[in-house]
Amino acid sequence: MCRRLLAGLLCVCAALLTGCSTLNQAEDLAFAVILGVDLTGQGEIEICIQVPKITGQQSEGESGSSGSSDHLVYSAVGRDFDEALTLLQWAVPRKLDLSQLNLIVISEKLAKDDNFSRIADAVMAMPRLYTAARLAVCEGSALAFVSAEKPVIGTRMSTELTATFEDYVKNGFIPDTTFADVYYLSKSVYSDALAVYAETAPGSGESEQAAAASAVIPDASSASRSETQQSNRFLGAAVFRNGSMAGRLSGEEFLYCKILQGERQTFAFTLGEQTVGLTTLGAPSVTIDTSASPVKIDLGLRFSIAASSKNASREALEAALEEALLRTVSVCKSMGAEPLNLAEIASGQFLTIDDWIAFSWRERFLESDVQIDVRVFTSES
Amino acid sequence: MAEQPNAKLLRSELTTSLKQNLKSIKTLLNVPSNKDVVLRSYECGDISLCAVYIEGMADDKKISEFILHACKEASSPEEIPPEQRAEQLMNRYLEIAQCERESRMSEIISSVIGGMTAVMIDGSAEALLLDTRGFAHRQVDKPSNEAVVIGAQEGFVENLRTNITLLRRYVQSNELVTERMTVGTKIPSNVALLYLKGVADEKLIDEARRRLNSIQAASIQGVGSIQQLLEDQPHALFPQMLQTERPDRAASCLKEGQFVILADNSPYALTAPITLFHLIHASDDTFLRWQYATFLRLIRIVGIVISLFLPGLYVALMLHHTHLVPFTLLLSIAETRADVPFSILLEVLIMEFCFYLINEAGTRIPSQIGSTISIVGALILGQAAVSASIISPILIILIALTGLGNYAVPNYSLNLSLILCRQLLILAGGFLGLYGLLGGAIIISVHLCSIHSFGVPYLAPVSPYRPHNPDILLRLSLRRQHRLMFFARRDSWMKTGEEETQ
Amino acid sequence: MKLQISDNAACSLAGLAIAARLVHGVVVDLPELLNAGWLAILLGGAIAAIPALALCALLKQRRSASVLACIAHPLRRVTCAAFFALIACDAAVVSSAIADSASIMALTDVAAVYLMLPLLAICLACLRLNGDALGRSAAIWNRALPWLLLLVIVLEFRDYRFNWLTPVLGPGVSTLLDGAVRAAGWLSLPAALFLTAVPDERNVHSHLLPLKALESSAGFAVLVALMYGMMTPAIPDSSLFSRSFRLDTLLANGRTGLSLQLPTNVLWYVSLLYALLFDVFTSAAMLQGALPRFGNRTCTVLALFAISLLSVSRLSGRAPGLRAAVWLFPCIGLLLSILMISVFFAKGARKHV
Repeated sequence: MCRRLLAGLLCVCAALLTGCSTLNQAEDLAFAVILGVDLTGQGEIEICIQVPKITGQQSEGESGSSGSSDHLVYSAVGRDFDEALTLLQWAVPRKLDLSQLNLIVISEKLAKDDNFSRIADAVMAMPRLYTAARLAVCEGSALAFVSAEKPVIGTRMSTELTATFEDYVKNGFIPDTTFADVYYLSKSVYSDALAVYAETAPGSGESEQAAAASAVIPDASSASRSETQQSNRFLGAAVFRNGSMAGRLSGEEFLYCKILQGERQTFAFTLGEQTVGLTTLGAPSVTIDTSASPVKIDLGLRFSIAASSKNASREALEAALEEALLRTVSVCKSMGAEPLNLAEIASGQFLTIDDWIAFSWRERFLESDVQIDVRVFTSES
Repeated sequence: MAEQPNAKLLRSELTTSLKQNLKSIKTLLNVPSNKDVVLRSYECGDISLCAVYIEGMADDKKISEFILHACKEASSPEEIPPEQRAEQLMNRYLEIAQCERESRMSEIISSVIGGMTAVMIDGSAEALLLDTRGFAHRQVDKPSNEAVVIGAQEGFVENLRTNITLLRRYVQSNELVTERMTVGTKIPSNVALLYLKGVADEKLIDEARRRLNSIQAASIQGVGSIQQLLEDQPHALFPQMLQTERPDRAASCLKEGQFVILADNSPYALTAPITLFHLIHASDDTFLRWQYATFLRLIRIVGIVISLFLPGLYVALMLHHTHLVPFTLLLSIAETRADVPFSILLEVLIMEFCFYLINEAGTRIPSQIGSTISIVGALILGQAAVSASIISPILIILIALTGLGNYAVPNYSLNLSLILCRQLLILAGGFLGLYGLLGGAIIISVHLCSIHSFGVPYLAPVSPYRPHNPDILLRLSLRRQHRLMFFARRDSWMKTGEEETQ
Repeated sequence: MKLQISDNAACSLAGLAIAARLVHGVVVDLPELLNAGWLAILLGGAIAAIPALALCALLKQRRSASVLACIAHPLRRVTCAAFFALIACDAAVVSSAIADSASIMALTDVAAVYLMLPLLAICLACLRLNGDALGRSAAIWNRALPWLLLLVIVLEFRDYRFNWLTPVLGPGVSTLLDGAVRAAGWLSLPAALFLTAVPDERNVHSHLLPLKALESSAGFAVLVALMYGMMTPAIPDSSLFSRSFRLDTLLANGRTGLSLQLPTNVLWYVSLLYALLFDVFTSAAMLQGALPRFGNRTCTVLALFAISLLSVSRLSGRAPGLRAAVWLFPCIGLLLSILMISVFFAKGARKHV
């Protein structure tokens, strides 16, 4: 009897002391969907978040639509990230929950700053990133970007962002990378990381004509126009080197970068007056001769032409593609970065990490001789 | 310990004096206070006889036709020595199927109470016990709690003899042994232990016999009481014997090497040894083709898992691990819960309580007003509670799914065990999140592994592994099922040639 | 009845427990192995095969009782006391890992001491049912575990980067060997459990079960280490990442989405809980071997008490745990050697018990 009493007491203590008093119900929390981090003019850190309102069923009549939520934006400024976060938690009248983040936005100014790696450490340690939040570098202010980001087609920010990113990634406009991807690669011994590059159009919320060549559609023609309701535009990729932003790639350049990384992609390629539909065929063949000086990198890529584009000249197409791809490699070299995942392949030729680090891959890549061989095949269908 | 009244008289034997014997019987049966007892004196030639029976228990027609009439029609017997009178009457005059001689008062009294007629013979120290049972009892009908779509539609009844007959029809083998015994030290009840000799392990049968004989209860209330007195671990959460009201199920258990216990006035059979998988398998799994049976069994198992873990998982995730819930779902739940005044844990416990309250009320309520329950349940627990923001709509769905999963369990005892386990898991998940839920699941799993049913591990043949037919989680083709159950006799005569060659 | 377990149950329990222990030790506590942890485990498995074979030979000598029951009284007590000390220290590390995991996952505001209480409750509830129930329960989980792991692999497959496993030797041979010795130490822990195990009469090859446990635990741990290596690139500066961070990224890598977290967390918690149950049962059995007058419950409670004290002390931290792990393999090897000498070459060793 005494033993049972003790056992019962142990169970009650285990229950009450460990979890009972800290119950947090979903409707009592403030879930942040977007987190923005910026550097103020005074060198302080500004954090902003977007939180969906929980309207409840009673509010159906008021809002006019069932299940839709408004979104609130909160921000705080501190000397460092941790202080700014503490102030933000005070600003939000509920317990702040950062486990459902969908997007982390960093301003370009902060991304290029030398202190960015410390901010990245703090962000990585903080929310555990369960939802594999994406990272976007925005051209202007992170707060403006976060404030302007609204669901346009859907009703919920999380689904809006997810659907947008999935579509843009599939079309090859932006990289499919999360904050953790960028963080890990920045710290690792392999290739450099890419993040989404974005901007907030002026006069946000009104429809207007978008800018030209740096627009979403990877068309080199400056006469290209597009019209969109979106205030925030996703424009390509930000390239990171040694933990900070080294430069950016346009949508078109990123597309070629993605092809060089070995991703399968279907895209439209402009050859003179003609637009040709192309699809990558398999992964590229990569040969890296690390014993040569300079390092010799041979890339073989294969594409198939869509049936509607059969009239295009194959030789001209191959030459144009080679030129475009080599140009992309040059752009990356000019930034001093290697975001083409070639480092992972080259590292296989070394036995230990120390040997690999001693090889100084990045410097060798900048001086390397890159040859690209493109073959275009006609698709039967 | 107090003795039964007239215990000494009960232990005595008959005398040769009819008058003396009748006096003893009247004392023991509390005549004339007990108006049910009939003592009918008559003559058979020169021999004075008295038939003793209980009105309602014995069939009057049989008594008049096969005893009284037979005796009166008999020609005057020549002088029969008194010591041979019982035998002569039995062999020459009485026209009844079952008849035996008895001299012990206790046996005579218990037989008369059981519906037999005792014929006392003047000059003989033996009475004749004649089977004249004719009490009213329920006819064999459909089983009420183990319905199947395809399969036999007979169920056990309260009469032990009928139940034994039912089993004999399903297992027509000369090796089917029926051992009759009584259980209960003060008011004994008739019990039958059935097994297939040469199939069931002898040690198992000996153990079953030993346990039945060692029951010290004054009386038992049916197989439910017997189960509780026979089980290996009475404090375990899970039943260690299977109660079934289907003769075909009991017959299949006999063929697998299990024993069956039937008791008078119980429309259930008790079988052992069992494993957890016996409780999950339904009777019609064997009647259906293997593809359908496998599918239905998987549905059942998924239902059991859902009923056990879903509420606890919901509470754990919503209280402690919101990051594991997809955001769109989380937001929907948060919006529906915005106006609910209770915490999630309390909400779930209240709903569980209400569900089982309705369940219990539905079982007890008279059938004429049974429809009230469905109206009360639908109105109160459904629309009204949600509209008043007492509970959230998602919880209605959750509790409904849990209830459906629970009722997919074919065995009622297992059903109740799962309900108890579920409450523990809800509390564990509520207080400690996934950590507590999984810890609770491990405790339940270890508990299951520690249970034995007549020495057979409860989770065998999965753990510990024993060679078995592909009929545990999936019910594969009958053509692939050659083995007997692992607890049957190894050299059983039921083995087929295919098993021997494997 | 003494605390005892059958061979098959011991194999199931040990296989699962040591796999979890290896994953925690190599993947979480040894970031300096970079992404070559899988290789360290393989090497450790090869090294640990030697004492495992010795154990198999020992098991073959027994008849119906455990190996410990066949050993002379004074030696048995000393051996058991030594094993108790080793396993209790290991148990402290495991319970600390569970408490850290719970703290990271949800119960962030709760003190570590209080997080031990549910562990005590779980251990007490499970251990009163003796070793076979634990082992059989572990065997059932071993059947479900591959399916959960397969689910995680299928969901994560798209994010695996096979090239992150190169360079193959990672930090270099010396660091790998260092990790391998520690891995061998953890892989040798089941020796204590098998010494208390009674043979299963249905299994004629039950003396080979230590090898089977070694294979299954090493195999599972190698697979998880490979998965982790393909999800997170090698980061040379291991000082950046604390144990909490490593544990966090094991459960929620950050590169893969929400849908994966639940199976991963279930796998992790359950495996670690079984690791703790293995440690507590084995240390209680060893304590009973050292102090044979004490009953099952007393030994269990004393073992739990000792483990709890060690858990809340600094000895359960990363650094002391790793320092102790280096000595685990030599100590267990030495103890097994002494036992082998005692069984094979002592007077009357030829008499089969």
